[in-house]
Amino acid sequence: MIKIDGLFKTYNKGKANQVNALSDFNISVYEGDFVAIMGPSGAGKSTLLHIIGCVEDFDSGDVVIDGKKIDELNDTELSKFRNKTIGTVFQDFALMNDCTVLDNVELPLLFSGVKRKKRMQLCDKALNMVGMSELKRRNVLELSGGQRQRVAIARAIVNSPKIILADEPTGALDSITSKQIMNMLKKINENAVTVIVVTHEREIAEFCKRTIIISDGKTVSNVRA
Amino acid sequence: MTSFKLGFRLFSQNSFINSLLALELLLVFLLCASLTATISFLIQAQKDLSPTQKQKFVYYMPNTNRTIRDGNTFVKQKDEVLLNKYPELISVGHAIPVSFETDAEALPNRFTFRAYNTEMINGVKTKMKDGSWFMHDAPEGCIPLVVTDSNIPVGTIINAYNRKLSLEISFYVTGIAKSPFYYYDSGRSGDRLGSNDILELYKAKESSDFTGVFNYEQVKGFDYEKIDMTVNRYLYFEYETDSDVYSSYKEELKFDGFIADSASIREVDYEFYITTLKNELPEILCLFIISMVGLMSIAIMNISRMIPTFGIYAVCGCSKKTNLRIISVYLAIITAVSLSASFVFMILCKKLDFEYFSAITVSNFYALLGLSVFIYIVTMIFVILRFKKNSLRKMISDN
Ligand SMILES: Nc1ncnc2c1ncn2[C@@H]1O[C@H](COP(=O)(O)OP(=O)(O)O)[C@@H](O)[C@H]1O
Ligand SMILES: [Mg+2]
Repeated sequence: MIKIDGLFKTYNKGKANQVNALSDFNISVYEGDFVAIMGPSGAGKSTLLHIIGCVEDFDSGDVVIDGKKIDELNDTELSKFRNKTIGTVFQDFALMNDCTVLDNVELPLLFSGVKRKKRMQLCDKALNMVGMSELKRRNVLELSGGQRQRVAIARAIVNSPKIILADEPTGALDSITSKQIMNMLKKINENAVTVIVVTHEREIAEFCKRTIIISDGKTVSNVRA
Repeated sequence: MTSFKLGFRLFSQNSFINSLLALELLLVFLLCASLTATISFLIQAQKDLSPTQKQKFVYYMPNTNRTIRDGNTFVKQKDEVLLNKYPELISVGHAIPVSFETDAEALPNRFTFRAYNTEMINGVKTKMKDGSWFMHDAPEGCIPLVVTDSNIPVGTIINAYNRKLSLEISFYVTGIAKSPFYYYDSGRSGDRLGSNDILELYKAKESSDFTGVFNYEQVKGFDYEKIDMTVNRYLYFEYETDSDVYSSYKEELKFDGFIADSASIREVDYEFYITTLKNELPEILCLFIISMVGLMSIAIMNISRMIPTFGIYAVCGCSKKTNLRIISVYLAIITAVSLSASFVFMILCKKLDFEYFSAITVSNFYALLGLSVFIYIVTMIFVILRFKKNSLRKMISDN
């Protein structure tokens, strides 16, 4: 499903504050996989997830997702890819704050041209799955961190993507909510969706089928649970 | 469809700020419109003064001991002296502004009529809208009067008085002059003597600009010597102003302090307009640039605020093209709002007869459209550059 070979990513290239976030990074993720990516802060976990989610470019290497080399796709193809193939849950949620829950969740459906009636059905389904259907008319600003996390997940899954990427989905949550969220991702994975979760908590990683540990932008170990 | 929905949402979500933007657009538009109105007024005024016929007259003798721009001092001379000095001269015309008061309801309380002598009346030909310029047929005891274009019909009797001159006159309106009406008057602008002083452009519009012309020789007890200070004299020649006789007198007349014929007055006047424009042009340009820069920064600040939203759209599968389409819809709504606001404003101005903005007409909407296109282009360039420069992750992390 995802195959990355010799990936390099450098921030602020050529400047004094140059950072080699990823250097010669390799990873393979299979269809239906449920992977935890662990590592110390600044190891390059978020960077990796952003590259897979096609929201960040990279310097060199091969990134093949769902059979496509993503650096060869043009803007329209990439948009379609983000729309249909990948659902990303960002560390800071990346929700439109002054909109309702529904406004946020329906976005991917709007861009794939789903008709209103179908859109509402699919939104309800996704919001049900994360237990937020009661609050769908609420403004995002009125929601707690955990609730926002759920909205972000609902938006990521609403268009039934093949891959879900989640960056520290439990980072700001208490342990009970964290477990609920992870159970939710597990359920999503059971529907043959590939899930990649970045975390630095061991208990969270234990929900996954395997764990990849990265340090200083390199794969350190690849543990199958 | 999606573009419309989201474009509209962008507008309605922050309707306050967006309305402010529309208002700013409207203000800049009004500014530009009033500037163009000023310029076009100057140009129009210049056009209105263009020559229509050859003259046999028009020398203007200003008030006593006034200095004109070239340093000459005018010394007032009696009509007899003038007639002796310039043998070709056949008459001297007088034009005296006299202020009157009236109790008539249809008129302003105060207005100024022009008292001409017979030479003046005969020398000046004005196009009439109604009635006649030659004022013979007034009823017993009434003085014939030609008024400027107004809502006073021919046949009206106006009882007016001037306490200082102990004048109490019943005017009978025999004719209505066509607008624009040029009347002869002394200048208000001090030492500058331009055609505004002699051929004042009258556009019948405001009731306070209401004026009329009568022959003071028909008024018993009208002592023009008493108000001689304000008498303007016009010398009439047998010869037209492009004749050799005229040319031979030209320098001497000038030396005596007479203003030249209207052609040369027009030259002076043209110079005046040009210098006025030149003096005001930097100001106009400054205002224009400031408002453009202001508008540009507001547009950019406004769209910067929305960059994370566009990032989120992109993350959810919105292509750059669709994003730009959404922004277009959003800007179109702002344009529509400010267009309708300015339309309402224009109607209000028309209704309230608010003179300053009377120059704003439907054609000025093109200016607003131009401004909108300007905002559109600036915003689009900015957004496209942002899309190019930053990765999506950077765009959404500004959230
Ligand atoms: N936009 C950026 N500009 C410059 N440096 C960055 C940027 N994003 C991340 N980095 C740097 O790249 C390295 C990897 O960051 P990141 O992938 O966020 O790590 P992690 O998510 O594992 O904590 C860090 O040293 C971080 O400081
Ligand atoms: Mg991170």
